[in-house]
Amino acid sequence: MDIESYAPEFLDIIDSHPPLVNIAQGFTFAEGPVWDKRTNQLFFVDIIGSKVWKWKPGVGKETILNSSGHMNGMTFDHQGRLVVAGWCNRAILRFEKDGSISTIASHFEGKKFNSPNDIVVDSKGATYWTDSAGGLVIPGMVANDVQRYLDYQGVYRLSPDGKEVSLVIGDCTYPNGLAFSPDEKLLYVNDTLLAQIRVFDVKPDGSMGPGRVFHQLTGSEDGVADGMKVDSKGNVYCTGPGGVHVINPAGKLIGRMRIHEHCTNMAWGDDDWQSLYITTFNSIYRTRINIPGIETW
Amino acid sequence: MTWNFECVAGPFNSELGGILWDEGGLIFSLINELKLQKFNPANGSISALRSYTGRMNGLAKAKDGSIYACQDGGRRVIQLQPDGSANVTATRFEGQIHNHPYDLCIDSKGHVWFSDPHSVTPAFGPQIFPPLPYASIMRLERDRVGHWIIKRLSFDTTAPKAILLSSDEKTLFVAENPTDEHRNRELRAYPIDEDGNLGEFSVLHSFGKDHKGLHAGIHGMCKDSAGQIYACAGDTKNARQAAIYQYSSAGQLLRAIPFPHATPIRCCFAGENDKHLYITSSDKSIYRLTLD
Repeated sequence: MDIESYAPEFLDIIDSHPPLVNIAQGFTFAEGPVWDKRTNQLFFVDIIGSKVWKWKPGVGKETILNSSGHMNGMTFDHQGRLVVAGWCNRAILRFEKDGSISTIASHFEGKKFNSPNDIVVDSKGATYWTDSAGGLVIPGMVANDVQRYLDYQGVYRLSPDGKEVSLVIGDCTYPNGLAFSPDEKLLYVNDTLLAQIRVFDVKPDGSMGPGRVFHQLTGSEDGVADGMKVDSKGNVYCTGPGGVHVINPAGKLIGRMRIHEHCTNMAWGDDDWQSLYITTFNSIYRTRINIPGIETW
Repeated sequence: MTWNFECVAGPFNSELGGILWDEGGLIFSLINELKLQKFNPANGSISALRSYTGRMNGLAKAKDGSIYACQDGGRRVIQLQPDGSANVTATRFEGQIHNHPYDLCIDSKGHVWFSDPHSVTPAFGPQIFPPLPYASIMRLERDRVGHWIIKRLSFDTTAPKAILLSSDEKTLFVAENPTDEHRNRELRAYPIDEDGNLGEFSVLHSFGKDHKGLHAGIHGMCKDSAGQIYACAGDTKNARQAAIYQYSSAGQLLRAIPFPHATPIRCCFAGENDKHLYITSSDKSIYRLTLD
């Protein structure tokens, strides 16, 4: 993989010629990658193909759900269940151990969500997700009911007991990727239309302080602020023009991983959590970095 | 002869899309404000009908009270339900997502006919699906189990815009608007056979060019209770002034009414009495023409 280094610290976390392996291909809009440490496999979705997939090293890919309702971002909860930003399901869904899929949140103040986009679970078990409205208009990936009912595209929190949905950020334009800092004192939320990452102080009750601009994405190549993850040192990895942008905790772009496909999201994986699985529209790639990411569940 | 075009609403912040007369008022789309609103001529008030419309063009009301709409920003025809929800129809023809529906009409069987031209404004979101290599008249129908399917009806159009079914549903009028200077803009009449297929078209009105440039052709049309066609055509750039053309139900040009307020885009009658013709203009306003 080609990299562009804008600061020496970038070469502390990645080799000058890191590997980039295409591990699976043939998708229309791959997204939602998440690594399962129990079984050493990667789960991901094809939004437009409306499927959920898994991939295992040495084995390959396999569909685990057809007609997924164009599911999008995925992560694990503390019981090891996949929780999903349901996009066209207009809900947050959970894969239960008996094989069923349940809805754990679908409305706020009596109104149906827009189209939940990406999702993260914190160490206390609270679930956070972005609720952009793309699943109500974008060709090839819309809900059966495309009417939008909420006047904002928010970031929501579901309490650890699963009982209370609260709006924690209400002033986004098009919220998309979200990720916590390693100590979970900060929440990063990017905005596709503004090409921007904002950072919020997480309050003890799980709500957010006012946001401030953390980083404005640059570049004219194909790619937008979409998926986002943070490594163990607090660097922020965000899809953007030309590939994956790596931003240090001070908000400075230190380097780019150049990927010649439109990147959609990322997940840390493998036993040492030093692999970065990158989804693009059509493929899944894996690269390696020199420090661990953040373990999922 | 002077014609009195009365400005009844606007100018709005957005260009106007589809219009539809419904229950005593004029429903109109504000394309880039993503809104559907209704003008009430009894008191001049305007009320909100829908938000987040996804850039709406042509509108038509179905027998069940729902409204079908061309959603330009989503490249689809959607069905606005009376309960406030909005349902999608089929968007793929032979596996490919169609272009940007511009105008539609509903026949007595509940089939939805729409024009599917290319658009310079891209759909919302990433541009994953290329446009079709053609621009046709399409028709949405339900299959035996109720799923929407699309049929392609025209193979000789490149830029179909306004469409209109004749009252007997035996003719489809199509405004074919190529921007190619070597071709004319045309009002065509396609005979519809018993199977619902289109036959060989005849040209009812051909719009060429003059020293100022190409005539823009027809942007929108409607019919009166007798089936006569009214068409918004031309623009302010060419010598033949923008006008409302009136044709007989058979397509014979009867008269041209000069339109003095920029480019007329779409028109529709207020109910069945054929007295008031509402016209949207490129100046983002709505006008009313009182006919004799």
